[in-house]
Amino acid sequence: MSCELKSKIKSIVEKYSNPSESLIAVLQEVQALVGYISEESVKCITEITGIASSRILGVASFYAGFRLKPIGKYRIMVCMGTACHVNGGERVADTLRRVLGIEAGDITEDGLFSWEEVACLGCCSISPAMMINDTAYGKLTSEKVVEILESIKEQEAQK
Amino acid sequence: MRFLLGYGSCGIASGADFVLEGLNEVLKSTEYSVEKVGCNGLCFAEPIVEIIDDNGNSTLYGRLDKESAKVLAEGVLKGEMPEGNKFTDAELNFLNSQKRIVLSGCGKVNPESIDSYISMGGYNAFRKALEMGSDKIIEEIKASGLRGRGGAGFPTHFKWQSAKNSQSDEKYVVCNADEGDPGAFMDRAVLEGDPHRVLEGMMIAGIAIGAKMGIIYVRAEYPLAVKRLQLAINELREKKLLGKNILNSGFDFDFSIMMGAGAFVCGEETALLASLGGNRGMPVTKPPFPAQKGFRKQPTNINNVETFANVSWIIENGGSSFAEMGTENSKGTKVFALAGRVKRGGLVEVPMGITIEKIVFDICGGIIDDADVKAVQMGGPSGGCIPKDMLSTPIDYESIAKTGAIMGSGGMVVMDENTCMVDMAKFFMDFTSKESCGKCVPCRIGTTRMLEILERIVDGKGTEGDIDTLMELAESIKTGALCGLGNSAPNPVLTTIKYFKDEYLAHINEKKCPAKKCTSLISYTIDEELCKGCSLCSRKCPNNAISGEIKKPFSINSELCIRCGQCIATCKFGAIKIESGVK
Amino acid sequence: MSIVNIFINGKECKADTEKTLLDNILDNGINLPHLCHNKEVESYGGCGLCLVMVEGINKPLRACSTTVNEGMRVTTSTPALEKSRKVSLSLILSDHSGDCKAPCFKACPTHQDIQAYVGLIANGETEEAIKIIKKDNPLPRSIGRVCPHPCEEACRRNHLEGAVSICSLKRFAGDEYSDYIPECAEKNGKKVAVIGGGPAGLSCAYFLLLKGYSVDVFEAEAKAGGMLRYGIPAYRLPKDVLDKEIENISKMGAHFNYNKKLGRDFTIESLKAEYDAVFVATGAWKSSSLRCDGDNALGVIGGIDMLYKVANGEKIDLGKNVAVVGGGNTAIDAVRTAVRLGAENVTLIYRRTESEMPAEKDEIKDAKEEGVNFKFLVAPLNVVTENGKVKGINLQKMELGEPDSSGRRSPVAIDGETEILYCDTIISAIGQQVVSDDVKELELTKKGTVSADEKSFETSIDGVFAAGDVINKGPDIAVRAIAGGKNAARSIDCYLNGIVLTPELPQYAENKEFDADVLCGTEKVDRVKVSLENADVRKNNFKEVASVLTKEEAIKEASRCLECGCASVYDCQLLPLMREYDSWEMNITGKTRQYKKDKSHPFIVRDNNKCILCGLCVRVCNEISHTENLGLFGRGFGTIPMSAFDLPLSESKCVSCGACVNTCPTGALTSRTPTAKNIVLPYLERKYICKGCENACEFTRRTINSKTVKMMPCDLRKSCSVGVFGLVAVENSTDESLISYVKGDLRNFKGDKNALNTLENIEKILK
Repeated sequence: MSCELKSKIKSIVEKYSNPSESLIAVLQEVQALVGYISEESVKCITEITGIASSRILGVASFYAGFRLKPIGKYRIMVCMGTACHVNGGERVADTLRRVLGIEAGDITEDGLFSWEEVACLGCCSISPAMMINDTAYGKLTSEKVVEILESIKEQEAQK
Repeated sequence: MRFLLGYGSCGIASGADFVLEGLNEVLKSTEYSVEKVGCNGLCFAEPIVEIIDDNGNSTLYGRLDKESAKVLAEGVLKGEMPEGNKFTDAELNFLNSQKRIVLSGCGKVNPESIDSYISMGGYNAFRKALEMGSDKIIEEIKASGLRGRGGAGFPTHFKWQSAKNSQSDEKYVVCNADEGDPGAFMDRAVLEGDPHRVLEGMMIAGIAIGAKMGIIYVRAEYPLAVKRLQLAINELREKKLLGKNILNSGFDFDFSIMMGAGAFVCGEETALLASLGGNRGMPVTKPPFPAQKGFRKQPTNINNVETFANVSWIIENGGSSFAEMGTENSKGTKVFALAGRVKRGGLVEVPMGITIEKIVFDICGGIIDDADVKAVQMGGPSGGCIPKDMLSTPIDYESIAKTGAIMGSGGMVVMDENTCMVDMAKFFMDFTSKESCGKCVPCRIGTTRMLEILERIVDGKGTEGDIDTLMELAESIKTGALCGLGNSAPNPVLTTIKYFKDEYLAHINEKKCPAKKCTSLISYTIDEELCKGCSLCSRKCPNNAISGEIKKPFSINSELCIRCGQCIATCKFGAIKIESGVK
Repeated sequence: MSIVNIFINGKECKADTEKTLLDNILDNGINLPHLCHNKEVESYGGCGLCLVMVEGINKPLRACSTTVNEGMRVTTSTPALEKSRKVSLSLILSDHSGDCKAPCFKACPTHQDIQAYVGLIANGETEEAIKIIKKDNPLPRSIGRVCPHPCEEACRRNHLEGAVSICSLKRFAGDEYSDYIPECAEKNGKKVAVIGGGPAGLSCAYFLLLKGYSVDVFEAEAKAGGMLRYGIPAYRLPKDVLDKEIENISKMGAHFNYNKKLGRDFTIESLKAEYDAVFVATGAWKSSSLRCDGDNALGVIGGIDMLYKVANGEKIDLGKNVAVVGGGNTAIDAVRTAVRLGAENVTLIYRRTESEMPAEKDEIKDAKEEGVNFKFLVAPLNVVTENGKVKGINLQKMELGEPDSSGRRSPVAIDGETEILYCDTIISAIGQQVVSDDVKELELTKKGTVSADEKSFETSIDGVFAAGDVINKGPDIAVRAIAGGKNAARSIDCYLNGIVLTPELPQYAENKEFDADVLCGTEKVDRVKVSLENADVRKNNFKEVASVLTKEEAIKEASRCLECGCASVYDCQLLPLMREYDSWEMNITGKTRQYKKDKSHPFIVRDNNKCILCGLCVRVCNEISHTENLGLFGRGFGTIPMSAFDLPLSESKCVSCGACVNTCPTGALTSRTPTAKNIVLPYLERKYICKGCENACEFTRRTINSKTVKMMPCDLRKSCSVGVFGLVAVENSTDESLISYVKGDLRNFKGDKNALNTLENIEKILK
């Protein structure tokens, strides 16, 4: 277990007077730190707080907001809301599946992209929508999705 | 002169930052600056800027980008109100025909400034409530007839009273801001646009039930709301409106924010409480109700954002003024989030009793491309589809429930002839089955099996008995599921079967999708008359399903076609048609 | 605690306010289905079965999560509640991927408890194994030699390296304990006549004897055994083996009347007057003719006629060249017998190819080794004769056409292509028929067989039953005749006692979507090779070809069993409810979850495929054991209980307290004995005071064959590894490593502090 990770997690846990009750918040911070809820970080939390790993993983696997697998550098969240669906949102997911060649929740081999289906992003008025990291993209078509992905790839290739 | 920029999530997603850049470029050398306000609900025209002149006259501009924002600012500085991007009268009607209580501050108040809220009369109700004391507050709420705006419509005063009656030194007020209905975004707009209104309502509830702690359970997917709530709480603390012995009244109160982690079921009270305790959000049976045994096993009152947002208005204006609006059993206003195939989507707050038709046509301008409306979905995954000929149903809890839908949190998704109702039913069932917590059999397995049947039907593999099996499963899930999510999960299927059975039968018997939506039951063809043979579609097709000779009509190989729609989006001549049924 | 009065289904009852409504209902002796409740842990409300209506509340409540109050009026059953329960149970079934009984059990026509006897053999308890076998099969030694074993077709081990050699294990157990005779019930004073001493007749007699009937067998031949004696050559089934098995039945009290032929020496009607019931199992003894020109020539003989003569010691001259027509087991028996009779050229003629042959693959191989020629894709056109005597057979060449309704490709004649095979004898082994004239008293089918009900085996005459080759579809394999006799005996018993016949088998859950991937990682062990006499030697005599397995071979082979049948089939709480509510009727199906079994722990097997997510294991692990090893993972349909990081139980924090095993309502968590195989059989239960420590906790001790197989503390809170697994370990194993599971983990055990001081005691027990 890396000491660094443990001390970082320790400082997260110490912010909460009752880490058991605040487990979700702790996990949110750990996820922000590590990128996902790794096995190692779960073991750290157990060691520091005494909260059983089975409970931590039970919570982490219950909420859609927690990831038990690493995410890509570009994390694509496709809105699965009603408005997006009515306006053809499933094509966005289909296009990602086709172009990236991965299923929801998986990560591309180069580690660049991962995509997931998420609950309504609340961008109904620009549906269908998706978010890549913190940027929302609206009024999407298959073509537009391809263009967005291409431009990211180009950007990355130039780096 | 004030420049108000709609700076909610949707505004930002639509490019408010570019508008801000444009405005700032022009205004930087002037005395004016841009005020970022919340979303005013005119989502159809984002990004939006409101100009308020020194006389208080307001002019709205929409669909701006950097360039047009610069033109606008330059014009305004010259003392004129440019015509470009100005809202039309019809568009303004969207706003003018509403009655705004919950949304009254949205787009008006600076959500990042408590002074802005106070200058508009904010926290007057709280001061008043401190004087009124618990019983009078609850009496006023009772007089208002306010019912929970989260879905079920339980009378608010009843909950407050029962939490008050529970004996304990430790009680909690919880705001359910885990808005999860796909298609509903009014809570986000209020939290982002007018957070103090919600906090004030919670503080008043705190006085009423004797709670010292308010907890806001808010979706982590609403980072801006979280940020603004935190800011608002900090400001309240600075102003000593939180803490011990607030305003020397002897009342102690403080807030904490807890971010949800993505589980629709946490909108259910007991699941929310489990989640607040750091556990899996699995509902438990009631009783005991949260008012008796809630957070930390102490009496807890849970209301949603919109309910709390009504409270300060009621205390200030009196319960009877609130009760003047609405119908016999449904008082006040209700906020709806209009989305789908409607021309002007956004947030609409109207008095109860108004018809659905009026909202869709008079306020929102009808259907995109003036197509025929087919149905309006209300209540999200727990609700149902109300068909065209029932759109004269007035908005009140009981009338909506009679249609098989529910008021819900106020999502209203408008559907036209291109919406397949079986597909919609499948969509919602997919949603609920994924969001099922997994605890009880009827919901966990029942919704999965219903979804599988619906998937078969839209895939052209439906069989004769499927509708009966769906109904049978639906009834048992309604009876046997543990919580509200499960109990109401079959509603979208039941209402679509009730009102659109023909569509189900077309899928099952004729293997056709009348709305031309279900990809297994449609085929793409090229109209030879219209096709100019430009080959654009052929080049765009991701699966090389389109071929032909330049300047001659092209054709689509049905077997290769994946019905992705790229060709339709590409074709400039409208030559690609969708046909119902598989070739 | 305070006592109030409540009304359950209108009846006034006392209720304890500290208990849930469900516990109060159960305490009052009223049945209310439930699967996720245990009064020791917090209510859950998952299964949704304990729904009740309470007066004044318009929606159903879960009794497990409802408290009682004075005057409460509760209804436990309404049409809507029952419907909801039925749907819930049907839904549970649709996601309960397990086999109550192993596939081999269902595949065997006599439904022998194969898993149990194979397991007993693996554990070295062959004597117990033969007892299990003879519960369902009166002729294990014969059947263990001749059965085409449909059970092995169903064996899941086929997904790996090949089926368990069930048939040879049966023979092993039968040969080992050839004297074993089960005990018969006291004579009940009723008499049944059995006509025909073949497998069906012997079977019916056997099962009637077990039930206390007096049985007289009427046999047309000089000896009993039927086709087993006269149709199956001695090199496959030595006559003394058969004699011994018949003798055993005779010892049970069957009275055999030999050389008594139906129609000649007596009639059904005449027996009816003397007996309470008559069972007809006269078989199918007429060889089907070749149905071509010259088929009545001298030198054309029926397969069964030839085998009969040989078995009966009659002289038979086949000549040098013999052709046998047919592709079934009788054809193989005929060619191999012809070889043994000294024919120089024996050719089997079959109109399809080898892969379509219905005969056993091993038998074909053996025949080839013995020098038999196989001629495929030819069909007899006519018999070539000279002076009315066979000279050869004219054959039409065939090719395979489209598959027919049975899926086999039908042979189609190739125009104009024929050939002649010269031979001295033609044996027609293309099937047998019933001699209808013998059974003309009964109503017959169009085929000339006796028409009998498929389930009750009743014939057109009241009190007369029939089974075996003589009825309906006609000839079939021996084990199916045994099943017919067995079921007819059951039917006769019901008939004579005026009881309505119940289905042969109760309903069981089956894993229809079995995913072979769950077997990956299972160690491959090759199927035992039964040693055969060398072909050059064996082809010259009628001595038995196949030898019996050695004990070592048998144990090794039996240990290959995957134990597909559920260890909880006799104490499952779900199965009786599924039967009561006929969960199969709605036929709800869909995707299922497929998990690998976790067999890492010596006492606990976890099979999440059967998990119904009642949450009890997780709750007891947290609330009773305080181990917090098990948790619920995931959400919705994919939710599953497991240890953190999905560790196998043996590597997890599990303290082996056994609380989960003792609360699981299905076979998702089962206890096992630390023996080669876990034996699943009906059991006995008695109270037992644990001697593990001074607490002297009360247990329910479960035994099978007087060996402890499971220990259940009467108070779930007294779950500890010593009490639950200590005795099981001592009685079933000498493996020292088990001690770590029983004592070592106690150091972490938080359930019962006193138990911590008991290490010495355990060692005492384990010694």
